[in-house]
Amino acid sequence: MRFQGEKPIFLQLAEQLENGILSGAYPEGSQVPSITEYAATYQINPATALKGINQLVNAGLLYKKRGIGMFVAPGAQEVLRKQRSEDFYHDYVQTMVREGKGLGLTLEQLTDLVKRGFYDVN
Amino acid sequence: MSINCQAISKRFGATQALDHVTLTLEPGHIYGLLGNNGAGKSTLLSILTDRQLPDTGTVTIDGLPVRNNDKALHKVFLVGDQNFFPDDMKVQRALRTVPYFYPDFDLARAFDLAKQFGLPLKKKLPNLSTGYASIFRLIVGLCVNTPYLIFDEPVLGLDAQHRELFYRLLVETYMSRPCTVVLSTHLIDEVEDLIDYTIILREGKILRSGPTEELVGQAVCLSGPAGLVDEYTQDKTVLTSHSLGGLKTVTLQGNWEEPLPLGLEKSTMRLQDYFIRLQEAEDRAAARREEASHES
Amino acid sequence: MNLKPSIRYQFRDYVLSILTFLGVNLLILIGVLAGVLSFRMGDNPNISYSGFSMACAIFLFVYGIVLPRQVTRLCVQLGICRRTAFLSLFPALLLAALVLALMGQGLLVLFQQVSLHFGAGPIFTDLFSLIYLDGAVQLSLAQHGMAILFNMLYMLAGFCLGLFFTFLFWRLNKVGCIIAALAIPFVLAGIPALMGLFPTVFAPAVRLLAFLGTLYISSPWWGMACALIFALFFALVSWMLIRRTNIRGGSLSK
Repeated sequence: MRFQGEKPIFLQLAEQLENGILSGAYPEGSQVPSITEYAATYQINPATALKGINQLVNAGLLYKKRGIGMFVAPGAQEVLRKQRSEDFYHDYVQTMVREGKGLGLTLEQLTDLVKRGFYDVN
Repeated sequence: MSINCQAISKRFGATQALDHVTLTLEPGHIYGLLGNNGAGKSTLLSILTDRQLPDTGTVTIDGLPVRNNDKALHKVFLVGDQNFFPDDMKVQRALRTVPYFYPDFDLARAFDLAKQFGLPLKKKLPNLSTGYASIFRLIVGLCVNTPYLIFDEPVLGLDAQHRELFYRLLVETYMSRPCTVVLSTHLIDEVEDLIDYTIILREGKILRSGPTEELVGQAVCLSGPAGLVDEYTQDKTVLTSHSLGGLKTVTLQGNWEEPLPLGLEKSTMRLQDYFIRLQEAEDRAAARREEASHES
Repeated sequence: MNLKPSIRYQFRDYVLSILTFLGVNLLILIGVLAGVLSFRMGDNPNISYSGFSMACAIFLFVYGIVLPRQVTRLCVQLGICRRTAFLSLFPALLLAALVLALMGQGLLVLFQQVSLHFGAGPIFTDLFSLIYLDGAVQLSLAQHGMAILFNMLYMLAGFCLGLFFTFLFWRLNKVGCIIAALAIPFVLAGIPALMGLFPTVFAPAVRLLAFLGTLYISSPWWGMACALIFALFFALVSWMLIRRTNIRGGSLSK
């Protein structure tokens, strides 16, 4: 397994860990894979893996148990969900509205389109 | 605690294989020794392990000169592309011979890895296929537990599955015991996420060396309409440039935070791209020197 | 200097070959004995067999061709320097030579006794006894000891000659190998021929050789000194050859 793309590897790894927590693959209180496991699986330098995991530790999403490993912090899922919806607002909603306004769409027309999309995509 | 090369030079006839190479390999890193074929990688490594003598310069390992020094050589293991075991030896006999020399050799793990790779234990070494001959040497390297581990073109002849297994095992080995790893290869794409320190060799000289992240960060890719790009890069060092219709893409030495003019796009580079751009720039410089010398 | 691993590796290698070698020699000795006994030629047979010490020296000459390159490569791969690899050849070799010489002397005595018992006369002698003791069969303990030492030194000399050839051809490139391959028979056959053609020019050399010959015959100690000097000379030249050369592995298999 390899990481692709332009984003720094440690960010990609952090993102993947977050996805795991969000999806419930790593439930709160459970242990996440070790740095060795990550580094070996993705064939990346262990220092890079550590950097990626530390992103989540610093954000309070993971905590260390000395000599045992890393665990998902209580409430991590909720924190992530909020953070992601905020990102969603910035990255997608704002862009969408800007584009929509550029096309001369009204709020009603935009809302209708969102509704249509909501039912079309499953 | 390091391997130190001080001004190593080596000449073969008309070719200067190594030209005043000075470098330090310190614990806790996975080094990438990168260069095209013939850049001098293998020569450097064989000088490092006293298989070959430099014309000038010295090599020390943890302060001990390597020349005829068992104590120094005991600390380093070089996995090369040649077989140094007797030709009439079977694989299992060869594995059992290693602990005579390295008491720390993990024989049980070696047999376990042989099983994982599917290495035939009862075959004689010269009867192994190229891939399995490499695998045999890699297994010895992965189990030998020396403070310095050097791999010269480690995955040559290995299929994709075995390559992945090797990189995996390498990381596990590196994490289980503090050591210095050197990966010498021209297959940059495969190792670029693994190596945290890069040394680029070209025509026997060190062209660039430094932490991989910094090195890659030293250059950026810029693309946009040709006119805009040219205007913006007037006062900058352009490594290479490519045009595709009206779109121009250039590689620039240096990185900066200033906002770009509208229409230009900046992107960071992968190590392999950086390496190729660097080689292209050097090729052009060499061609210019050639031309100049003809004119004068 | 970490001599032990290399010696241990070589010892394992020697044991198997020595056992095979002794087995074959035992068969030869039995064959000679059986042959003489079945075609008995009176109490004073004009047949004698003295090939064992020569066979040992040739055996170690072949070893000297094969082993040093293997040992040097293995050592260099496994963290032992070339100097230690080179030096480690000699303890291992001397141990093997000692075993061979002891076993050889033992076999000799055994077969002499057996042949005497059957009344076949002294069929079995060795080089040492032929040169210095007029082919005597009953040796004193000191003479046995001297014979063992003498044989060991000739095995050492054989090994060092093999060592020289293997490192010479290792060191040389292809053209060099061809030149050496042509030069060696020329020197071996050509110099005696030149000596015959130009006796006056070579007279001092011939006198020197004759003197050395007499010296060699005069005392077993001189004979041993000759072997030792020969061995030391070729060992030294071999070290000069390997000292600075690039140690490569065998090329990649298939």
